[in-house]
Amino acid sequence: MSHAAVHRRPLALILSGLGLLSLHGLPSPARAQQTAVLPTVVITGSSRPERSLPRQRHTESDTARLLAEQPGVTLYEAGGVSGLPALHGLADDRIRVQVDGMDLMASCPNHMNSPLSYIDASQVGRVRVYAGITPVSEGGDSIAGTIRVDSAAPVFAEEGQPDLSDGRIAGFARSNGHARGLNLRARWASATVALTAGSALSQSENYRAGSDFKPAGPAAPGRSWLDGQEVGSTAYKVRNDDLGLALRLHPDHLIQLQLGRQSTPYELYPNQRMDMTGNDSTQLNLSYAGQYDWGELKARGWQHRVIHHMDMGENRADYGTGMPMDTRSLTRGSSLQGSVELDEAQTLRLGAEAQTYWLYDSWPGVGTGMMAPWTFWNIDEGTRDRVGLYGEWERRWGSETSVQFGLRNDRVTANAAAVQGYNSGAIWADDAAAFNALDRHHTDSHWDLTLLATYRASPTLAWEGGMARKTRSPSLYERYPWSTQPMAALMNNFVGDGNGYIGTPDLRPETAHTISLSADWHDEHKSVWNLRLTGYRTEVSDFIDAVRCDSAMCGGATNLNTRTGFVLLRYANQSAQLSGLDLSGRRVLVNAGEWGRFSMDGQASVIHAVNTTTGDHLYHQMPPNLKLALTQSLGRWTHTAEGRAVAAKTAVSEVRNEVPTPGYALMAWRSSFDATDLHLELGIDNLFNRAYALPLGGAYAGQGASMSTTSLPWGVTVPGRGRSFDVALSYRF
Amino acid sequence: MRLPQILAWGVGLACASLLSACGGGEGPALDAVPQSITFAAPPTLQPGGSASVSASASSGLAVRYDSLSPMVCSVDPVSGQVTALATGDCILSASQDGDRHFAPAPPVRLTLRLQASRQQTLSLVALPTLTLYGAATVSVSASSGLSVSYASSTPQQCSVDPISGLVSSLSAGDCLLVASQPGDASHDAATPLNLTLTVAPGSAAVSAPTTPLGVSATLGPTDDTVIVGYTGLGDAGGSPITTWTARSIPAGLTASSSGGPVTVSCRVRCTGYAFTLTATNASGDGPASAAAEVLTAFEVRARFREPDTQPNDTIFVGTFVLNSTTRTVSGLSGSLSESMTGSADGLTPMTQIRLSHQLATVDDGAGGLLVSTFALNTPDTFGPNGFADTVNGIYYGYPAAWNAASANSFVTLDLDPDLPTRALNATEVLRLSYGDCALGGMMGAACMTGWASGGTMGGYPVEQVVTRQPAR
Repeated sequence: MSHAAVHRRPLALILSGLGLLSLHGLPSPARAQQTAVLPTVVITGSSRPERSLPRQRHTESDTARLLAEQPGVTLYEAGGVSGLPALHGLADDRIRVQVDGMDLMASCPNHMNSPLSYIDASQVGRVRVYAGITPVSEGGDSIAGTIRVDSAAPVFAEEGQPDLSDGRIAGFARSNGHARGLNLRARWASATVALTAGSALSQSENYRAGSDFKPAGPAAPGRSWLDGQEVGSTAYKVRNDDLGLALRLHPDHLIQLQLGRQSTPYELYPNQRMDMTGNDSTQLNLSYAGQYDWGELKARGWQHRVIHHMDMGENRADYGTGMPMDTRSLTRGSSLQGSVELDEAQTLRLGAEAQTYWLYDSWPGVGTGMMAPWTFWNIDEGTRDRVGLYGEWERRWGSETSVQFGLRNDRVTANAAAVQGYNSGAIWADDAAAFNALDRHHTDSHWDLTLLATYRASPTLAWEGGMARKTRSPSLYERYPWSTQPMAALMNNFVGDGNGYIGTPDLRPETAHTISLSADWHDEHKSVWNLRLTGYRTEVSDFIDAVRCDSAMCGGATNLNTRTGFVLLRYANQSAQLSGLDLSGRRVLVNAGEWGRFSMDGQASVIHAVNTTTGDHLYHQMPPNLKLALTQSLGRWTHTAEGRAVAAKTAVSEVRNEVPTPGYALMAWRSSFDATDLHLELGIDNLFNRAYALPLGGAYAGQGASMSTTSLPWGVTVPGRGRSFDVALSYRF
Repeated sequence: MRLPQILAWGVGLACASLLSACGGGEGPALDAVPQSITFAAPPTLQPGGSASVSASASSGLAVRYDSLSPMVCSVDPVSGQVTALATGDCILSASQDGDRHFAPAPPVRLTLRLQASRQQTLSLVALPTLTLYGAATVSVSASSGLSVSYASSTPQQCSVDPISGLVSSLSAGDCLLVASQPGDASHDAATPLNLTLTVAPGSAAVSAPTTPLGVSATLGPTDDTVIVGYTGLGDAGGSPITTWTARSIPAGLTASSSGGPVTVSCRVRCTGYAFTLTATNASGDGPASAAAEVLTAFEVRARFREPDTQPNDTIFVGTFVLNSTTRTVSGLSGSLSESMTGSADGLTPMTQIRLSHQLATVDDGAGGLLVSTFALNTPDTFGPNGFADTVNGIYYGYPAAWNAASANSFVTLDLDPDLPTRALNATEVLRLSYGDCALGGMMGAACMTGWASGGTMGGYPVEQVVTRQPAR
């Protein structure tokens, strides 16, 4: 490991993840140390405490679930590998998600291929979450914050030492849904070249709820039987492969080339009306990081290509021919960042980013009739390009006080070509003609501002506060879906509420003003206890919410007045306000003795989010919740008993006919055993097999004939997983 | 070459392979050149005639023509030759699907309005022989198809029913009649037609009248009455008819009147009875006619709400004949609208599917009849289960390619033979269903359906209204 690099803060952070795999070439004490702790960390906020990734990540197939343990982070449940994280109540496209420095976007009209699905949970080396007050160097074109997920950083052999090589094989199984996964990783490194290769495969059948939540019967006419507990359309099979080459041509200069490829044969969706029947993506990522006398220089160029297919999965009526929907997208990005150490106390970061995004979302005609003979162009030749410039100044006064100020400008342009329906019939042609007559080209200019300050008032109390202005332009799927025909509108939905959505081309960018304050109490050495309280408030102007579609084809007055059914909505600029509190803490209870070390972790959060234009509640807000975990560490064993209580969700979005969910409490138990080369995890999730509805799970649409607003029963929410016995084993070689 | 270099090259080659393998086209629309279609000046098209339309694409590629109102006109997809089938708006579409270089053109429409002539004429269909005190029916038709009314200019010699044309002789001499049609919003009044029936003096001897001719029975204005009528009386026996008597078979219901049709009150219901008619004069009763079954023509309208094709619903409008004597329904036929084919603004009418083959009638289990009528002379609509499988709704013959000639459609109504105009209750309405596997009803291999639990697009029955067909 480069000695110089360790003393440079950014690289030190990166290299902190190096212990993911032990190296045969390392001295045994170092190796033993690395097996004792998980080297991966999560940093929530710009200066918040580091947290270990959940140990159960080896049994987890959805990378987004790794974030759900963090204060302020909730998760929209979706497919088995594609949860959508929310930061302080704002989710999806409002969050900038970077995987290995690439801004990946869900190209699917249902956001089935979420950015975090492109990296397997077992491959994650480090996650950073910036909620609300995001440094401008990490943000841009987002108002909720930034999530950065990185693979483990490369490691090189010491000069003059033998080459390094190692590998790991790991597998997991969950009894519920018969989920299982296998991942393999191998590395080879000299002093100047490091190669990594990995492959992860996971799959699952439908999972089961704690009890019956629907009548048993055929999933759909002619389909297999689903009993009352089986949650339809939750099966998946996914494979991620990656290949990495790193060159250290000089101790201070690192070049990396990363290749990633995902192949998902199927990922069924319980809260959407279609299923993912194929997703093939490739990522190419070339980066450079160099240390100079004046500071640090980073450069990156990358490309992400997606070929995505949706159709009716095995639990849905297939209408004989199926209902194929195809999406192709191509994203190219580049970034350049220089960090100049003005003096020992001041750092100036200057950066530029550019990104182009191209999307073609088309639905091939099927059969003969009203869905033929043409291909339906949902978004034809959609483009969304962004150029950003920023400057960020950071000043430190000793270790007690620091201030960071950043200013950023982004220019976002979007456009889409003319469209057509399945044929010249009026139900398609009238909307298409109206859309084609519009000026669809839009250019938005964003000005973002961040001010962040930290102050250590005493050895046991630290304050952190900040304010930020953030801007986001509408996504292509918020602007350009054009058909008011209900079946077509139902296919455009990335929030899982079962409703249909129609785009609004002239949407304005939404702008958020956030203020946040955190207090962190702890013992002098931060080793016995800590308690952290964060309060925040965000005002969003031009918030992109939805209004009921009032056109005749949407159903007119019926659609406007429906209170207990699925409806059709148009995106619209309104305003919103979100405020909340996050509380988290930890206390070591017993730190010695024959029973080992006992500690208690806890966290709680509450949020109030309203649309201030209409007075309605915002969709999908997590109700007040509390989590407590008692952990015993004894030798190589760690045992955790975890309890979670979630209040009933009564603050629901009326415009979307969101369904309330009752409160619930769950218990889980987990144990892990760490040997030198062996890591074993055992656990029982949902210990008492409680039946509960996922507050952010959305509407259950996982079976039956799903192409109509009325063909699925309204009011059923996606249930959580019932009891599951989990086991994971990894072996290093 | 050192191992690291070999590995580096190897990785590079692997990367290149990986990237090239996942390349691929960006969809057919990316580089396609837009094109547009323009119609030439519209031709004049008369009902029953034909004309040619012409449209051209800016790409120079051949244009395809379609009729969006096939009940009004048809068009040859290649030549553009239009044939007028009925009056109304003939809506034509011209499209061009594009090729490797050109994107599909936005379809263009042309509307030709086909209006019938306002003029109409009256023609004599039948001028019967009328005997003294006898009766006979005259028949005149209007070229417009509108109903003709009759009046007597010689009320001392004869009377005439203004609707049926039943003429009754009152005395010898010329019976002068006037047939007329006053016109409507689309037609001018027809020139009246004068008719003369000469009634010869009868013999001095008086005898009983002969058997009434053309005796028929229909339900009356309410479902608990029957009207027994006739179209003529060949010989009144030389004496005016004093009484017309209707008697039921089986016996139990009898009614009389001094003239014209006889109205019979059925107490509770009229089903199960046939009726005879007897004419009586001063000499006595004539022979009874053969028993006539009670046959009544009805109009029916059934609506299926289609949540996902608003503002269009699926609507069946048709007619049928109820035989109250045998409690059977026949001749159910009409038009079924295809709700996916009309425009929301109403400018493009929905396509109508003709259903004229009543092929299935079953008891609904509650005293009613579930009567189904089809587009084709077969009940096979869904495969392989006839027309029962509205849940799946896959067209008959699947997976063989869909074929317009074998594409069937149907509607099933719930009819009450005892009280046919009674409004159905909610349970009965939910017994209605339809399936439409014609072109405008197809989604993939699924036909458009509507039934109690929601059809292909969520359609479900909401009403059925049965009314007496107006007399013509």
